[in-house]
Amino acid sequence: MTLRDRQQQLLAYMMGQESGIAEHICDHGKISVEHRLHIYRNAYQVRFWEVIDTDHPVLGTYLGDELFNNMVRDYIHAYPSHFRSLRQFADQLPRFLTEDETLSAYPHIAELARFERELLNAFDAADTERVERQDLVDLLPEKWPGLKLVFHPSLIVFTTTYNVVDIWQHIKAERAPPEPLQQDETWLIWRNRERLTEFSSMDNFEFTMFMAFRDGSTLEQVAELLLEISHSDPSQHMVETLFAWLDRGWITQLDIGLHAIK
Amino acid sequence: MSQHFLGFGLGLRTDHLHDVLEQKPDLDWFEVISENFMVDGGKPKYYLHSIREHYPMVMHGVSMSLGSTDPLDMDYLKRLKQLHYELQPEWFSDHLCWTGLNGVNAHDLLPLPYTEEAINHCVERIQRVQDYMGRQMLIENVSSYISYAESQINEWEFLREVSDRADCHILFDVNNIYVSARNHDFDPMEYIKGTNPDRVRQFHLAGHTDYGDYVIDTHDHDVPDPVWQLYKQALLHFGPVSTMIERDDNIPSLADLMAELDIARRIAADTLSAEALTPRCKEAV
Repeated sequence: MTLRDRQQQLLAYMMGQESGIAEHICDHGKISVEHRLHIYRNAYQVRFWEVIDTDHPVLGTYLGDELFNNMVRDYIHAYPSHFRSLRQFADQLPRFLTEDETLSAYPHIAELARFERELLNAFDAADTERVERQDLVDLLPEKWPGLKLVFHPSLIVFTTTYNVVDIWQHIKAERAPPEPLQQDETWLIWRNRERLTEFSSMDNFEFTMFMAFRDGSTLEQVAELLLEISHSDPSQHMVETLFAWLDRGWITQLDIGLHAIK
Repeated sequence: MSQHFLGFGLGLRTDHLHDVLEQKPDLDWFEVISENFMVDGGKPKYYLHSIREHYPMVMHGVSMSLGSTDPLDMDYLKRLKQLHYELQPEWFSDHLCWTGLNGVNAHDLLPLPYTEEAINHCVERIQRVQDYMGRQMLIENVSSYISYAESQINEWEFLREVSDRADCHILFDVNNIYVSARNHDFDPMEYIKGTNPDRVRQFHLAGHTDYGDYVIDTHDHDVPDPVWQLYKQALLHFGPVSTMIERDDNIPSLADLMAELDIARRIAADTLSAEALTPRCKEAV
């Protein structure tokens, strides 16, 4: 038997699979070989349970202990870790919840898990400098039409077809959650200047404006697009929205062609 | 005085990041878990760099999987090297163990059989890591609950062979030796005496959970008396070695950990001369 064979046997045992490892373990002292091996198998389960419990406190409360424990057990089996850090271990949990025989019947649960994961993603996204309201004020008027925006790396658009953010907020505040409702919602999640994660809902105007800037459109192009959908001069609303974004620390660069304000 | 003696430190934990930056506790250095900071940004990483401005640091990894028969994860090493560049630590370390196979990470520190095959395998991989990182590393002994029938030598002989042949240093975890000694019925003093003092650069001290017939390495309790006694014996054998308390769960306040670190200081002061215990960074000042 090679070193690799032995490692395959122990890992298989830990993962609850058939394994011939026991006959290669020394039997001595006060505890049995089975007990010794069980320490590793148990640690394998507990470690991953703790990760999901830490990453998804609201989901855990929402499901209750029994459903949560069953979900964790089945997830560990379906999606063993291929990551160097436990931080990524539960990345596939929302997907798993759409596949699980029991929980996929309640699609808002996968959406609730996805919202919690996006909060984590915003939490440790890359850092970069942000521009201020005054930087836009100082921009020469003739530069405004060609203005493009670069957003902070922590900004995440969360679109969902359920009221899961409302459910999340109620549970977080230790209040009874509302019934799940099927409704289209768009939220933006970001990490603020104090490095705290925030989120806010977006109406259609703001969402269209944000997506157009994010896709590389200039301010002039975005204004034309907004004129089409709102059938009125969007200038005032656009400027107010731009300042709100700057105040929230969403923008890291005002790109005016060859010159970028960082 | 050892030129490598950093003094007395703590494992830097997320719970304490704010307090450390605010209070600047009187300790000599911090150990950081490398994987916790292999992220692009965010609050913990901001704190890490801010704290680094005030303290020497060492990097401690849990995912290198030196003993695994999977290929070395070069992407992991690339990120490790990047963090190493950012932090400029005094040294970096990982465990003499394996953590996964076939791409599956068990996130556990799994023991190796003590065989010639395992020695050759680990030596070759440590040398490759050291070549890639451009410096020597420290390897840590892990606690264990099983021993393999095919082992040809004992654990400390294995550690000695690997560290000598790979020309790396040792992070000597005193608690792990106590835990394994209880679980495998060996004399921990034999382990200490069988370890080459020239290789030892760092001590870990920690607590565990004692179930009577066996002991689990949980790092969620204070350092217990038997580990303190073993620490004293380790000091007598190895001389001044950079010492830290490694607490990973049920984490107490920073003040409580500082008080526990004072016990380590007192034991070292009672065991070694004051000159030997002057940390390198303070001597330079």
